[in-house]
Formats: sequence, structure tokens, C-alpha cells
Amino acid sequence: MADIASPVPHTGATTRHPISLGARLWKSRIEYLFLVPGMLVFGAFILYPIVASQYFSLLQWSGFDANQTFIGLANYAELLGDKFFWDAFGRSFLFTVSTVPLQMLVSLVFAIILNNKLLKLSSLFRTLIFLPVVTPVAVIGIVMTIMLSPFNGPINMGLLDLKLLARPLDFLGDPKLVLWTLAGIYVWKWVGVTMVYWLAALQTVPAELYEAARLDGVKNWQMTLFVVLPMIMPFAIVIALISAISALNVFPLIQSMTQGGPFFATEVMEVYIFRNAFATAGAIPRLGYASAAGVFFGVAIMGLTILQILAVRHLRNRETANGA
Amino acid sequence: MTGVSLKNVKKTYGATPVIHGVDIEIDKGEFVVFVGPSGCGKSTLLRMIAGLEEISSGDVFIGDRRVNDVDPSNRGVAMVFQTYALYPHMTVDQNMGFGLRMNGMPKAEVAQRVMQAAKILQIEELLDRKPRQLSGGQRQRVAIGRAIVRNPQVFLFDEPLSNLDAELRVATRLEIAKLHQQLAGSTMIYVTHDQVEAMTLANKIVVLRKGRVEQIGPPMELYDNPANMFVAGFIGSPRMNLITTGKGDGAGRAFPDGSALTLGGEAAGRAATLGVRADQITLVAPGAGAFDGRVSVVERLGDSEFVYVETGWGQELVVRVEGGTNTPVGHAVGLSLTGRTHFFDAEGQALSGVAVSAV
Amino acid sequence: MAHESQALRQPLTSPRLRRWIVSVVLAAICCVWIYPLLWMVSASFKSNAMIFANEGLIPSQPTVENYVKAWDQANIGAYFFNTLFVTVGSVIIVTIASAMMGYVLGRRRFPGRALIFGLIIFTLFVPQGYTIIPVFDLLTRLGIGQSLWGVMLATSGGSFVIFVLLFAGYFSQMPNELEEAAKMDGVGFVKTFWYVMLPLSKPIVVTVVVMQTLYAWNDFLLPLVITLANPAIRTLSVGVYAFRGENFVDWGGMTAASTITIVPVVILFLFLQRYFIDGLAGAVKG
Repeated sequence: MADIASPVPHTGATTRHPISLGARLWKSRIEYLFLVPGMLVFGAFILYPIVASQYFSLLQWSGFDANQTFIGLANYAELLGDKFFWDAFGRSFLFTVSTVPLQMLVSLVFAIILNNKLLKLSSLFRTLIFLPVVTPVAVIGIVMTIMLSPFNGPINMGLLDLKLLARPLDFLGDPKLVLWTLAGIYVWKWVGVTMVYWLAALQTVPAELYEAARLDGVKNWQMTLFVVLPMIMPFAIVIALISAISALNVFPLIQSMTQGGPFFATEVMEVYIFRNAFATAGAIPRLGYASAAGVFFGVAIMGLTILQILAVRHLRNRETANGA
Repeated sequence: MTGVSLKNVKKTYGATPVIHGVDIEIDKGEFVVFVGPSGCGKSTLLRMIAGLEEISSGDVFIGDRRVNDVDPSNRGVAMVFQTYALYPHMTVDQNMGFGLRMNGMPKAEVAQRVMQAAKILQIEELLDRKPRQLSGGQRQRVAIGRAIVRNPQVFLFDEPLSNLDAELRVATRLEIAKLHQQLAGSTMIYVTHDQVEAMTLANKIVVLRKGRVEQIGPPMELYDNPANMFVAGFIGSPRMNLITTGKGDGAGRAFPDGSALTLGGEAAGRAATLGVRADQITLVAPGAGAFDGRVSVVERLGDSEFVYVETGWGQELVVRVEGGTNTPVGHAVGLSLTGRTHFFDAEGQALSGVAVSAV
Repeated sequence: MAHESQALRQPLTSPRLRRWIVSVVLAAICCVWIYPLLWMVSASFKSNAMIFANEGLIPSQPTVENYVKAWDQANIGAYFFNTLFVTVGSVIIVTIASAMMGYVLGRRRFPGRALIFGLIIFTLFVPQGYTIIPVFDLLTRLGIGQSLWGVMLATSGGSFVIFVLLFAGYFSQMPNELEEAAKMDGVGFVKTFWYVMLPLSKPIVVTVVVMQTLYAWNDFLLPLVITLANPAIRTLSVGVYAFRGENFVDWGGMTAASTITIVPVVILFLFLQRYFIDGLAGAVKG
């Protein structure tokens, strides 16, 4: 550490001399000390992986041995032509685009209903809706696999009994159905979280506003539509963003239920990466290749996120300019 | 025809009663102020009239109609909330017209009413602005405007000035008084904890404490003839001086320091509290008044001075004198009860017909 | 506006009636909502034959044989303690590290503060699948790629950034007078943090503990990668997953294992849900 450089005022001059960078660092040494544990965790398990991924993507490497060959951008070149890669890419986005709006809508409805303090047991309902959130994915995977089974699974049994179906549906085995089934399960699991976000947003509407509207004879649905919804719109954007990022993180659910099958019908990007990295299909693992896929995907997401934020900001600027 | 009438109104939250049988008659066109310390139930009463709180028992009449079970929007009332409750994403124009539009009133009529109200409140230029672009006083006027467009029979104000700073409060108080004159025939019920607002604005004041009515009457009636010690101490600033006198025998009475005082009438033979306002005491030379004391603090306000005198028995009384008198601190003085005095019995109720003569 | 014509509208019971109807509908929805979990618990108390017999939720001949079998023969017991180890360990690491880091980021000025802030926010947008390979590689190189310690350390990375931000936000809102009073009393930086600021941040501490516990207990991807090949150190999530591969038709065993897995977190959640929910709400506002 540098010694403290004492600022010696020159004769006649009244200007302050800035303390040198070294001196400032030393002055803050206890803050840095406090940062150490956190930065270790952050650096090792969050920052390093991001950087390392970039590096790995330039290698051909099986992960089992130290045999790493630098092959430059060859992995990326191969990715561009890999049908599985692009299929997975598309599926990830399809999944996100279909689950996020559904999740936000359902949770919003729940939140609006549960926001009424007078509703008895509202906290009980909130807890119940939230229960799937805290359930481990592996458990959901097992339970849902059993329940959706076309042989004796309770759901199929129930639908058959209600005469809604003529034959059991193979929810998880039919490539045409499976992605939607998983989307439904995903929404079921995570609605509780978005509901909590909406509830927090709803609480920014002061109680007196509801009373004033009530005195004016404004009906409940009018209040919701014309007052509450516009007021929580800013939150909607944040919630959508968070939900979208989570939807791209759906790996645990898919892996535990279908491992990307049947016939790759549910292979979203992270499953693709996993398959290539850890060779669950019996082929040789290709860590370098998988890293390249990860980097590519991550960059694409970040790009889209930035675009989204910019678009939102642009829209908001235009709105205030119009005085709308 | 009465404006608003409350008959034996009670309110309980669960098992706890908060309003204990209140009777109030308000005439049409009156400006009535509900005043009292926090927790006295004044806001609860207002909200019961508005319909935002349920009435546990008793009746509320607006006009000649019993409104206990009537929806708030059908009672012919409009309310100005303490925090104004403006819709933040709508312009002033939209805020004021929102309720009318939601109930199907044609746009042209809505616009006309909004413009009318805006003119009365002088906020025409603000119609296109949003609440966050307005000052506190302007927001308050918008809140009032929203009430006006409903053409209500009764205006309800819930502590509307408490969110404004002191200077703005005075100015807005005047505007509300003028508004009442402008909207002749409108009944206004106003809730506040500030007795100055009550005194200056009201035709009739209702003093409340712990869910009960302590006294109802015009401001000067409450000032000159408080019915009990609570009202005497609450109304009027500075607070009325209250001195406990011993029981004495017959008509003779002693101040706690021994100075003698003669009381006649109802006060004979009973423990009593003497009440006298700061401007009804004169400072004289020691020994020349009813009792003596020493000046402890002097507050100079310019046009008047408040002299705090510590009596022989340790109580501090306040005396109002003309500005510039410059009574020195530590000075020994005598206090002479030359003006209006009040007497209250052991339960705090006012006694009438008591004559006092100091020795 | 003349309202006299609409004299007496519906009495106030109407909104109350509406609320009752909503409650009932909501209750029905909730029952359907958690039905899978109810079914799971009920199945865990039935023998396999009875499960297939389709007799409804309440078992006619309840049995705990599934639990016994799962705990001993299928090693769920061992997995339970593995998971406990990872969870408790990561909670301790995470809480202390994020509190310290959040404190300096939230309340103190020093060179590089903005840089660090920017860095951690940047990493919020990176999906997890992206990072698993290097993490695995790092652990292997450090020699803990096949140990629970490795799992524990890596699990600490999970929501770490969010916790730092939570702490930073909370600490930044605390009034300066507290630190100033401590300074006037001659209390040093570390002691001020430990005895004054940290105790005051108890709500956030509880939130972080609850969130990290939930995260660590339920974590799947990371333990899967590290422990799948090594049954001795598997966590519950991985164990349950592997169970399925090995004993596919033992529904009773699987549901028992699953119930064991979820019971601790559900209990924790039920008692401390307020903190968890407040934490989420706070995160979204920030």
C-alpha cells in the first residue's frame, strides 16, 4: 500500500491538492476488508464463470482431462450450422413468450383479488398459491410425472371420468403436447412469485384513493381498470423483465421431467448446453462447444434485454412529450 | 329543514365502543366544525356520515332521509380527504370529472361542471397539469373542486389543512371561509384538531372527547360560556388558567397559598376550580390583587406579551398584557381578577351564578 | 345530481355476500392448485398397491413403510443430512458476506464503489446455465469438485447479488445519526457494524436466511452436476431425481422421499413467509 501522501500546500497558493489515489485506497482499507468475503464469493462463483465461459468457448475440450486445444472461433462456426442449437434457441424463446404473459396475467388477477384486506383468509390463499414456489423442482418433477402419466395417472383418470377425454393424453410423451404441458407446470410453480410482486405494486395505491372513488360512485371494475392498472404499469415492466429472465432459467424443471425429450421436443437452450457438456446421451462431452453455445445465448439475451429497456424508455419519453 | 342530523349514534370496533351515543343537529347551510384531541372520534363520525364506516347503532339523517344503509355515492355528500386522494396519472381536468364520467354523465355536461368549479377555485390554468406538478395548496383546491362538481348537499372536510405549512394554512383557511359564502346553501362539516380553525371558520362548533360530545354551540358561546373544564381548556389560546380552590366553609374560600377569596351562589360549600383567561387578569403591585406571584418567563409577540407568573403555591399562570410593557423577569407582582371568571365543580361541570369578590 | 330517486339501494350485505362468493371460488381454485401436493402426501402413506387402486385422497390403510424404506434403503436419510450441511453452510457464508458487502456498498464512499455496483448489477442478467461449466471446472481444479464443500461454496453464489443489493438498500436508508453517535462514543468501524448496524438489519437478515435456505435446499442443477455420479454425497433433490431413474414404479417410495424433501422448507416457509414475501417485494421496488 502506498504511503499516505500528505498534501503540503505550496507557498502562496490556496488551492487544495487532491489526495493521491494510493492514499485514498489506504484510507478506505477497512471498507475493502469488508468487501473481501463477498468479493471472494462473487468473484469465484459469479464473475469468474462468466469470463471463463468466454475462454472455454474457444476450446475443444472434453472436460475429463486437461487436454484443451485452442481452436479459436471454430465452435461458434459449428454452432451456426447446428440444427439442434437453433431448435433449442427457438424453443427457449417460444417458451418464454408463451409463459411470461400467462404468468403475469394469472398472478395479476390473483393479486387484485387478494389485495382486498376484507377478504377473509386472504393470507391463507396467498400461502397456498405460493406453495409450489417453495417446492423443490425435483419433487415437482416426480409428482407431476406420476400425475400426468397416461397409465393410471390421476389427471388422466379424472378427465376420463368427467368424460372430457375419450382416451388418456400422453402429456409428457407426446412431442406435440409436451412443451405446452411443461409451460403450464412452470406457470403453476412460479405464479406465486409474480403475485407477490404485483401485491407489492398494488400497495402503492393509497387507501384513500379507493375511498374517494367509492364516494364518487365509481364501481370496482372501473376503479381497477382506470385507476389501479395505470398506476401499477411502471411495475409491470420490471416484473415482466424479471419473469422473462427466470423463464430462460427453466432448466431444472425440464431436466427433471423430460431431460429435453421426447425426441428433443423440450430441449431448450440450457438443456442443450447440459447435454453437450455432460454427455447424458452417451456421446463424448464437449465442454468447449457447450460453452460457446452458452456464451452465444447469453449475449443474445443481454442484447434483447437492452433492446427492451431502450424501447421502453423510448416509449416513455414519447408519452411524456405528448403530455398523455 | 335540517341539513344533517345524528341521533344517538354509536360505534364499536369489535367489543370496544369508540362513539358513545352522539346527538348532533346541523342546519342547512351551516358550517360546522368537529374539533377535539386525536382519538376523540371526530374523523370516525365524519366517515360515518360519509358512509365509509358502518354505523353500529343510532340514525344518521341527511335532509329528511335516513341514510344508514345508503351507499356513500348516493347520500348527496362529497368529501375532501386529508391527503387529497388525487389520481396521480390523470390531469386535474380528468381528476375532477372522473366520478361523473364513470357514472355515465355526457361529456359536455362534465366539462361544463368542471369548468364551473375551476372558475370558483381559480384553477382554470391548471386543468391540464398532473398532480405531481402542483403545489400542496393547488392540489388541495383540486380536491375541493372534485367535491364541488358533484353538487352535493353536504361537503365533508377531513383535516384538509394539516398537510400544509403554517403560512399556507392561514391563506387557505380564508379561502375555505369565502368558499362557504360563495356556495350559499351548502352545508359544510369540517373536522380538525386545531381549535383556531374551529373558532375562525365555524358557525357552530362540536367539541368531542373520547367519543362523546362535550359541547355544541357557536364559537363565542363556547369561548364565553364553556360547559365544562375540558372545553374551557381546549378552546381559546393561550389555554385558560385553571386554579383549584379548597372547599372552604360557607362562602369563604382560600387559594392554595392562603389568599382568601369569597365565592357565592352555587359554589358555596363545594370544591371548585376557578378558571380565568389570560386577558381577564391584570397585573398590579404585589398585595394589591387577589394573590401574588413572581414573573418567570415573558413571551413577546409584538402586539401582545404573555407573562408567565409563578404563584405562591407553585402553579404557573399566564397573563396577557399589551406589547411593549416589558415586565421584567423575576419581578414580584400581584394578580387581580378584574374580568370574567368561570367556575367548575369537582366533576368539571360549569357552575353558574357564582359571584366572586377578592379580598 | 339528484340522488333521491335511487333512495334505498341494496343493503350493505351485498358487498359482503360478494366477498363470500369470491372466497368460496378462491378456495376451490386453491384446492385444485395444491392438489398435486396433496396427492403426493397421501400417496406416500399408501402402499403401492393401494395407490394404483385409485381410492381418493385419504388412505384407507395408512402405512409408513414407504418412509422407512426410503430413509434407509434408498439413502434418503443420508441425502437429508447432506442437504442440511450444504444449506446451513451456505446460509452462514452468504449472510455474513453479503451483509458486510452490502454495508460498505450502501453506506460508505470509497474508490471503485460505482464500479463494483455496476459489475454486480450486470451479472444479474446472466442465466445460470451459462455459468455451470466454469464453476464445475473451478471446483475440480481446487480439488473439491467431488465434495460437499464444493457444493456448499458454489451454492453460495446463487442469489448472492440480490442479497447484497437488499442489504445495501436497507443499510443506505438507515439514519446517519446512529453511526455518528457511535463515533462520538469512540466505537470503531467493525464494532459499530457488528453491535449496532447488523442487529438493526434483522428483517433483512431473516429474509436473506430464509431465501438462501429455500434456494440451497431446493437447488437442483448445481448439485446434479457435482454429485450425480457420487451417490454418497447427493443432496435430496438429486437423490429424488435419481430415485426415479432407479425405481420407477415405486411410487410410494418416491412420494415418501419427496415429502421428506419438502416438509422442512414448507414448515420454514409457513412460519417465516412474511420475511420472504417482504424480501421479494423489497427487491422489486429497488
